[in-house]
Amino acid sequence: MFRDTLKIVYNRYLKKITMSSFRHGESLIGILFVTPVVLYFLIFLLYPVLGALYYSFTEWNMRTRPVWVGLWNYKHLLFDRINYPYFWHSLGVTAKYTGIAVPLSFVTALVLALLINAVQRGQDFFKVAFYLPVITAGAAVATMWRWIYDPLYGLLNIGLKAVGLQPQRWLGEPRMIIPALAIISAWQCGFAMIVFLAGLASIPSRLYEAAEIDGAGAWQKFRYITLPMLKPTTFFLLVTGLIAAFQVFDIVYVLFRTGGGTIGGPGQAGLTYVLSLFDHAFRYYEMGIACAMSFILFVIILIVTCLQFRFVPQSYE
Amino acid sequence: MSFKRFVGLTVLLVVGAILTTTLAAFGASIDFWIYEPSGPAGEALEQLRADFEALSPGNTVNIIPIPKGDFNTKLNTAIAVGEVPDASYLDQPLVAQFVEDGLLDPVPEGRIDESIFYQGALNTNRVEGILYGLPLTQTCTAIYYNKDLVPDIPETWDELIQVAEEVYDPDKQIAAFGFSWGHYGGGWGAWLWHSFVAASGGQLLDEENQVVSFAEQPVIDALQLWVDLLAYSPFEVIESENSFQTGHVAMMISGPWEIGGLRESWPDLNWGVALIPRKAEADFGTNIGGDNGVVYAASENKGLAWAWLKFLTLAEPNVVLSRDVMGNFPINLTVAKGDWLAGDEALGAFMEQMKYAQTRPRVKEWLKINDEILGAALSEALGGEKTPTEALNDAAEKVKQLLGW
Repeated sequence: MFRDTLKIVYNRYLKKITMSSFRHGESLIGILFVTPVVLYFLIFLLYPVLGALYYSFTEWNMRTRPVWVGLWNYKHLLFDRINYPYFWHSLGVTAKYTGIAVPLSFVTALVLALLINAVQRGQDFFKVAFYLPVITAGAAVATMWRWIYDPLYGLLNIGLKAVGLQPQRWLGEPRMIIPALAIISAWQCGFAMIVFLAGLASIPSRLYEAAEIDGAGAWQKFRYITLPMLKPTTFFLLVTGLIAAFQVFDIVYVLFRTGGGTIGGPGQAGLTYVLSLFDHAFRYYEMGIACAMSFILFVIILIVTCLQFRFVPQSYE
Repeated sequence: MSFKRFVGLTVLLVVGAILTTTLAAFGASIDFWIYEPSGPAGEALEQLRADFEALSPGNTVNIIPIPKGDFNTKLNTAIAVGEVPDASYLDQPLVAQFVEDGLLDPVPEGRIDESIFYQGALNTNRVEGILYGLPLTQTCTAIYYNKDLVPDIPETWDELIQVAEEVYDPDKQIAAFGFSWGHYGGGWGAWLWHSFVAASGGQLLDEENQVVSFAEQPVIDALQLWVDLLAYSPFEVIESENSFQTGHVAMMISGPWEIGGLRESWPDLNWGVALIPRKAEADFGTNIGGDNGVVYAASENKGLAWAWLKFLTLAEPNVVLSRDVMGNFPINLTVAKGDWLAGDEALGAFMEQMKYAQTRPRVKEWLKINDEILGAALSEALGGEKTPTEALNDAAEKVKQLLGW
């Protein structure tokens, strides 16, 4: 009797409270688990982003208090060619680099992925070998390519001469600098290659078998099965590749700032947008201008990404 | 406790407290920021600190070493949050900017004897006639030449062109004059080229009269000389890595930082250092680099900070600081020909060259002008897009607008 009464009391009044406490405890534990990442997001991502947005409306050299100047930084970056002569130039250099480097890296990565996919043995070796440039330090990569591009002793010019072609001033002639940088970028296409390999692995083999029964050749299988089935992969790589290309920095920094104060090499042909931003921030101490540049770049990347989502096919259809 | 013991203990405590307070008032402490030295350089710096503290009992110098690559950024960040050191190293072109921001304490009247300094080095601290720091070490550029290719060192520009014509050999891929890899444009190239402007008798800015001198004849002649030298110095040779060291370049402009590498890695190369050739009617000239010591206006121990900086400029400490700690040259004239050179001809040539150093302009916008306007003008003229006159006229116009002169 007493037991039954207890059960009724528990079910009617206490169960809810206990469950609620349990749920409450559970959520508390959950909150504790996500706290580090939330704090990381708030302190190291959100706060700096909001801070940079604020400083983009100020004149600030880090040594004195920031002075609110409204849209002055944005206006002068866009229209003042005396104080900021390289804003549009650096944007042009970056656009040109993106236009050459992204397709070149794409094609190289796809070809490598197809070749690796085709070999029967040693796939892992080739995957590691072609991925190594991605994890090699930017400074080491730049130093190595300086030697490859050396006009007198460089491997590339020696190779060109061997096949009867004219040697080039890869890092000396302004018109050659962007193609030279794009070649380095294509050499570092290991990430895209791995993603393409994953994309290739996800294509069902029955599609190829059916095509073979219908008499399709290698080119037709590539054109009508492989390429369309890689659309989601291609879309992902295009979006991330463009974002990375717009932010290219480490290679150009090491290649063209070795003497100190050298902005982007001969004719400033290698002065990419982020290299110019770095100069404004850490050489001229124009933090307001640098922050404004970073938000202009953010808007550009946002627009380009939206256009990609609108116009680039993302699925098999 | 007896009353006597109580009184005795009380007196002891009071005397102790007074003594401690008095000693604390006499003893002061300063924070000094410096580029982080490594190994033996750090030990040499520590010895300098110990020597100073022995001369100044009760006072303490806290040396804060910062890696050189991060130095300016960390210094700016520290200032931004109000953690200003008492004294620090300061890159020469930043002195004017720091003065503009009201951060620096001027050198107190009568504190130093200006005549002991190389004037080029001292003047890097002068803004609108007022001295805001002391030079601590200095460097400059001179001409390295391959003795096998250039038996007679040219002294004037006419002789330089003549030697260039003689040594240039397209078949053996020997170029006359090297600007080092990638240095013919941008801020670095502009800094090197300033040496030739100084050796033409010209200057880049007349700050006193607010005149941009880029388009004046001596400056144009200095750029025309580099363009003329290119006729005997193909880009594909001079742009090659280590082209001087491999014997492909007969002469190059560079600083004393090459000496160690040349001796260690290229022992068979027969090379020497000479003064930068001058325009016939002008005196010798060169640029200047190096570091200054400054005291911050917010320091609570300015007296001790200036005493420390002055100590570092005295003959013996300055040799230790410049040679053993920083790998640069002393700024104290009294040690110019001292025993420390130990008969080293290359170092001796640089010490001689430094007597002719011309300070770079001290307007706060100079770094930008140097990188973005002057460097670009050099690039245009050397790349053949414009004549030296056109490139420098255009550059002068831009600088006038930028400075509002």
